[in-house]
Amino acid sequence: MSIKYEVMKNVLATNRLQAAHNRDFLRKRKIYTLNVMGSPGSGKTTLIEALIKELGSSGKSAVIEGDLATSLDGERISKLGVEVFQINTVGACHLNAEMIHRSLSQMDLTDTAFLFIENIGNLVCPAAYDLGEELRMALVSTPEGDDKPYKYPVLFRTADLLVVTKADLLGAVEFNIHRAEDDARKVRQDISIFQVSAMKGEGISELAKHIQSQREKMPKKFP
Amino acid sequence: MHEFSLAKEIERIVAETLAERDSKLSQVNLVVGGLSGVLPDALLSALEFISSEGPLKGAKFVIREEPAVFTCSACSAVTNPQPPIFCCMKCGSVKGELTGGTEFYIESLEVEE
Repeated sequence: MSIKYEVMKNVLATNRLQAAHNRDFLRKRKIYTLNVMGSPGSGKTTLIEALIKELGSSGKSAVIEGDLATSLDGERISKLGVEVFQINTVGACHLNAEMIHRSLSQMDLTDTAFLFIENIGNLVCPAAYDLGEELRMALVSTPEGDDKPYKYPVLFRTADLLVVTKADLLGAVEFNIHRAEDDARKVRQDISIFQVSAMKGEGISELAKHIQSQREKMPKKFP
Repeated sequence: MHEFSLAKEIERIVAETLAERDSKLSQVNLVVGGLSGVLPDALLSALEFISSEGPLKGAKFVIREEPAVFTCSACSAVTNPQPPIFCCMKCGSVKGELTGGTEFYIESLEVEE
């Protein structure tokens, strides 16, 4: 006999539940967590390094580094003397909440104010995964082109913050900053937009101030 | 490219749902929203690949695709915008909410008992 069972189960429900658990864990410890997303080479590691230095006076940072292979980025960041945990996904195209949970349980987060999670370089898959962060930050570097927010709307729609990186190359590469900003706002009306050059130190203090002010508004518990 | 991990999660949910039931799975009915970031074709390939054995063995997979839905707070129209544009297709306002398109769930399972 043929029978139909109604299931109505979200395929990502387990990830959402784990993300909620991570968020609760982090809020209780007053750790403001940022999910940093962007293409390979968009400048995620360099921006994180610059922000750690800039935020230094207002609190300690820690980093979870996601990469397919190698601990190159983790080694780079650890030179700043902060707690770093390296995840190697060995081919997986995104981080998920379970990986973050396992990392958190192995990290020393005493007195940590900011946790940066550097996602896998990819503008597609990280869109679907909540990690338990407070802020989703998406990067577009000027050499990549101003059309990225429009071409990857599903990811940029989930982003609270758009950071245009390598802004010192504006003029040297074809990148219309107004187009990128307009498109990003069409994709997500309330997105905050910053322009930075981490190499030259431009725009970093404004971005760091924004992150600090967001941390002050962070709910003290979950939900 | 994350459809393979999603297919494995579907396999896990199906196994959990049918645990302790003496039934043979014949069909899995899925719903995928246009803004879920899931590619139906890639998901089908992944499901077909992993269903050669294990809990999904022998099953057929049916995916119903749901479009993005925008509920306008300016003119109250409910329309289907085409990404990357998320606005009211009637009056053009961006004020409103996406009320559909992000769903991704297992709707039902069909089994032989």
